[in-house]
Amino acid sequence: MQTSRARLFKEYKAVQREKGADPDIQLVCDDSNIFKWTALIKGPSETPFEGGVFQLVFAIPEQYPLQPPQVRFLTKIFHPNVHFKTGEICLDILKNAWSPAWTLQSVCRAIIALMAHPEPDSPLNCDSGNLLRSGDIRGYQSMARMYTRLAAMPKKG
Amino acid sequence: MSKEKERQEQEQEQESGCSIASTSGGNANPCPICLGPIPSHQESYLDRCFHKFCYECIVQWIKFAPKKYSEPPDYVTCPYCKTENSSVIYLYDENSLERHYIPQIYTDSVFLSEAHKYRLRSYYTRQGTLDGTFDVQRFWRLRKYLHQNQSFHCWVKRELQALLLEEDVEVIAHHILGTVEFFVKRNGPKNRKQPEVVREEFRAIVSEAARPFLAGKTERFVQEMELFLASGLKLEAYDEVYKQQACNDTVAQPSETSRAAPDLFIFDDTSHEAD
Repeated sequence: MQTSRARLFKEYKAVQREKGADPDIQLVCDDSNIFKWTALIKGPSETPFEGGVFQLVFAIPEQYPLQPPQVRFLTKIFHPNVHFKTGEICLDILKNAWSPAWTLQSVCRAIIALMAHPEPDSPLNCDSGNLLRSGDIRGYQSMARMYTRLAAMPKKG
Repeated sequence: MSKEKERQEQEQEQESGCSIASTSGGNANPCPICLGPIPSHQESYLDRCFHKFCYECIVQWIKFAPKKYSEPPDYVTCPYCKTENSSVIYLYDENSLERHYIPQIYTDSVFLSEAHKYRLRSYYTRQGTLDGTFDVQRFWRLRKYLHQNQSFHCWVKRELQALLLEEDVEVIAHHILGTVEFFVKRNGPKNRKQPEVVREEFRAIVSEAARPFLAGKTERFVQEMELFLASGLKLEAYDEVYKQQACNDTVAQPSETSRAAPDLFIFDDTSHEAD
């Protein structure tokens, strides 16, 4: 069996086994393709993303786990390190700092940590980064909260 | 759940049922790279942080990681803790170990075939599996060693390659084959020695020749050599029989992990008298 497939299958089993162990992450594997996954993550509390549920899509390369998975946000999010249009994420562990000891589950956890601790000095979303860099925390938070309400929360009524 | 996954699950369970790994690795400390249990013949660790991996997995990572540097570094960053390590410790037991430095791993050609791997694996399983399959006593009693096995050269070479993880073993193979040849000449058809005496002599002389290279694996190597010679089979046929027996054995006795004492083998069957 292919290495990547075998490893993903192990992760799949772990996810099934530990269902609900981490209430903030819900990982789902595509029914017909083990190289395609989606995840729902909860916006961390005490951030403008609180109360929102964000969808991530994973495309896993053949060389996984030697190569990192490609992850992007499907849900619109206003965050300095996430591209506003494509959902691309700027996170070191998904690029140079990748190690095969990471799993899809721990990548999700890292993304939640990134949501709570943005890095405005390497922005993919300049508007968002500039607000933070100029010290306009309130401006950043209200923009981020607005997009959370618009895109990541169930519509009222 | 989709059918594909169910099928994979079954396949995987079948695989692990038959592999040697299932008896020793356990799920307690899986390899962080493949997330599977580490088979005992694959156990390896990094020299500074001591994190364990399957040898194949960590080598894959060592070979893959430097693609992002302009020049391959002479260390590997542990996937688990980011410590910089300069070598991988591998194939260790009470007597010996293999230490592979990182630059050496980049340049290593991949010459180990599946056959090499199965040979290497067999050195980490309980011995005596094939005792009943090939009649070693008879081999010595009937002086079958006088008839040369055409595959013997290939067998020795492959065995050394697998044990030493070295492609070029020509010199050592030559040395060992020469020793065996010398032994056969000295114990020609006219000798009047007891088969047990001849056998002891064979074991002693081959052990002496192989020990400087094989250290702690010498005894087992000599036993494996006896088995191969006693089989009288060609390489491919021998491999088939061996694999089948080894597989049956692990299925039948999954809890057996200890290795039998090396010398029990000789005293297994003393009831045979010379014909």
